[in-house]
Amino acid sequence: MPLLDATGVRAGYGDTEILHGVDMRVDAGEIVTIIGPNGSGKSTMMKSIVGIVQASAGEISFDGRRIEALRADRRIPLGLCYVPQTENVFPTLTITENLEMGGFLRNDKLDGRIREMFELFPDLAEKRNAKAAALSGGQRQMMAVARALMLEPKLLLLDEPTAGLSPLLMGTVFQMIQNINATGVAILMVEHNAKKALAISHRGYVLAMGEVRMENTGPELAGDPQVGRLYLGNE
Amino acid sequence: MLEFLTGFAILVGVYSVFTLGLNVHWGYTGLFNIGVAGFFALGAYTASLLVIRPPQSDQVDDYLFAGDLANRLDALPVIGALDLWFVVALAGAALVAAMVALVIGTITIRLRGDYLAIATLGIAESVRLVFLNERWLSNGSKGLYTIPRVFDGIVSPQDYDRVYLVVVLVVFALMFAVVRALVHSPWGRVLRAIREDEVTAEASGKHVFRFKLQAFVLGAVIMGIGGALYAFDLRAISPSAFTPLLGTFIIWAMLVVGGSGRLYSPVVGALIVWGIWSGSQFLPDPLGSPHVRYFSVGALVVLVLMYAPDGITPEVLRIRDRWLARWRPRRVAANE
Amino acid sequence: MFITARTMRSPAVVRASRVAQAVLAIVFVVLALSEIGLAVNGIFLGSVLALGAVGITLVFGVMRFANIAHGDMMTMGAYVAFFLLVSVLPEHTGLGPFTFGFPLLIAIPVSMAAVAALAVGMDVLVFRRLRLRRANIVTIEIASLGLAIAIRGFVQMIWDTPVRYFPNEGRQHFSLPADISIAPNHLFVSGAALVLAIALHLLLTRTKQGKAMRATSDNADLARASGIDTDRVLLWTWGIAGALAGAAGVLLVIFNATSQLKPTMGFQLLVPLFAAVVVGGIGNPYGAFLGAMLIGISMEVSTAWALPTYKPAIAFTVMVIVLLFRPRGILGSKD
Repeated sequence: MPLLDATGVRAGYGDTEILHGVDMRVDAGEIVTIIGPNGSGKSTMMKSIVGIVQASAGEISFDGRRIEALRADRRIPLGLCYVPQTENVFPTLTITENLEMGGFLRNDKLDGRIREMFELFPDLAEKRNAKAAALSGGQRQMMAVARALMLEPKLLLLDEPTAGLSPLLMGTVFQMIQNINATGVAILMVEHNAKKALAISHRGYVLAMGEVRMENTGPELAGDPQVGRLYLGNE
Repeated sequence: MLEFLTGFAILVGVYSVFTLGLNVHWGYTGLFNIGVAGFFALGAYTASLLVIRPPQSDQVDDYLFAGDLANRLDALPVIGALDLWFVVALAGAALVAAMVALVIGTITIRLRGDYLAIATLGIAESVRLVFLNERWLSNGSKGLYTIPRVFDGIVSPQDYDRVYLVVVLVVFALMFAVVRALVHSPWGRVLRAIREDEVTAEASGKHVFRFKLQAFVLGAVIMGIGGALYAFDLRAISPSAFTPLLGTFIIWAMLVVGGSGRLYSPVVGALIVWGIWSGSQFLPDPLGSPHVRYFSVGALVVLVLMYAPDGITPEVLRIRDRWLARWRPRRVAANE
Repeated sequence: MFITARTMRSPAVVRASRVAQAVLAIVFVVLALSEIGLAVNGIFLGSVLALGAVGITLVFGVMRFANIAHGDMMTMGAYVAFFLLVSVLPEHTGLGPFTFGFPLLIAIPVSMAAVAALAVGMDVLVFRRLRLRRANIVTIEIASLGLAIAIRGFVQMIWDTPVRYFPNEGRQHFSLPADISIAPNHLFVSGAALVLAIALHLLLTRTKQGKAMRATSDNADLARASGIDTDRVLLWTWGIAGALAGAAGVLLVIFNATSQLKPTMGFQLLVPLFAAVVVGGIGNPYGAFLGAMLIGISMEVSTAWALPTYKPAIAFTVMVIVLLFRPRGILGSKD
């Protein structure tokens, strides 16, 4: 049984429908990447899975439970956490407070999990009492992922985790994603650097005009000449 | 009874003018002005001070026109009979409102929407405080009185209200026609685009700030003229008429009840709200008190926003169409 | 959501602006020091304003709208206390150096609870429904204007005539050097405001619910995506803002030498309150506190030259001057 199973998802903003019936699935332990041109509905798909955008039709189940009717803050406890592309930290809260908010739903003492996060991201440990607004681009991205990991999710959704980062940092972030995945967390991400993202992904989807155009394993999608021509800028 | 109805109709007309101006601000452009009272007061005082001398004006002999414009113009041969001072007073009210709107608009329209609200509230209160405290100019809390009648000498005082009703309706009709033409013009389409989605409007090369400022000034001009009409109806004004409650809130109530962004809503809203407002004074005492009126109109606004966000005008139009359909079924069907 | 000016500023303009800001700050300090007695009064007025302004800014932080009913919530708090003092609590005045008696110490928390309940009720019955309908911000703001008038109408229906006063007895002012004279009540007002401000600070920085409030104010979508129930946070925020407004309303009455209540007293404070919020940086509670002090001092010091009735206009003018140089207020964030 897949961890996440979405079928026929339709969603949009106001009267504008952006997703016209999308099917998508993520199995436990997988890294899955969604690629596609701007405006194809990648971010909207992520948001409808988390519940920030309410799907107008279709079914979404997670870990065997139907979730499409739940509010965002009721979906998170089931074990899916989301890192938005921008505005993904609380800027006026300190690093530690950001992590506490990430673990808002945990009833135990957060100290242990926060310490684990600081071990995973030593850069953040140094600035634990600084406001998140003071972080650099790369640190901010780490902060955002660390916040999402606080609840020890089964599935982590990342919306363009490398946007705006230097090539060097990009490599670090992809390495980090693989490390997280190695601890058993499934990952669904949207990425513009499709080649690099597909290279570390088990599977990938190509989204265009709010519909799934292709679905295949990561390496095969990366090598597909049509994908290359249409979506990878024929690198 | 007829006198009451005439007086009522005049005020509905005057309030329709304010609501028309507010509709230009909020209904068509999305400018959140909670300082209608400021432009209202500026219009009323400017118009009055142009035609009379301030009651205690000994020390202000060099004052602008030294007031008294009415007598001076009336003294002229031929022109005197036309009561041109009335037109000059309306134009002066419009001009002052426009200048103030230009200044506030330039400073605050670029900022976030709430700042415009706070700024207009602040200006309105400041304007009221000036008229309340500067006795040399406005006679303080006693206000201005002895404001002359239009067509005095031609029309007997008993007929004044009926004649003035026509004057108000003509002025309203003129401004209504202007707003209507503008709303349907390319300019009006840009305004609507701005209200719907400012970012896109900006991206499509429209100079959003300039359009918003123009709409702000236009709305303020209409409100200023409304203030002048108000002054020549009551012929006595004082700062207590321009509190946020009486000068701003009731006009918002009219726009909300009528439904903002619709051409006819100012008339419908003014009629309903002013009907409740002045009708309730005939109720037996606990219900007829002004406080019950504040409470119920406040609650009415909240309820309309919650349950009929488009206002009551669509409902009224539907009833009208049903009536029309009874007489001319085909043509209405074609209009739909 | 909101459009802000993104004017390109050359280094020369930035430098000139900095110099002008420094000059303005110096002028402010010199004026305040030259009228030190009035400035001290300004701090007392600022404490009352602060309690109201902090509530407005907290609500703005999570709901993105300026609550016009806030002034009338303060009025409500004052009249609830009046009701308690006159009809429920034992009669007593002249506690220590103050004009009021110990029953006021009971009336304050009860008023806070009552206005908190009113604020929560407003959210549940009106604002939440408008949110669910995805009404735009200004519609919500107009609804708050309607509520403001309705609350005032309600207060007037019950308590309009005769003019009401808190039970009080006349008291001597404390005299200090440099012509400073302090009404004992003013010390109480400032002390109470300070205690509440510290309590709020601890709540916002030390408790989970307080941190969730700040998080929601920073980024509501991310807060929801972290599993925070933002509807609950909103209720908390309304409750706290209401409680502060209730306290501010009571303090506003004893701030006044005659302890007189007026149904319009809260609404009339709206311009100074908004000015304090905007000057401090809208959405920032610490900024609101700072802004309230700045506005309070400006208003009082201005009475050395201007008629006291112009105080709201002075508050507004200070706000416009600050906005010209700092469109996001003194402590406003950059993004």
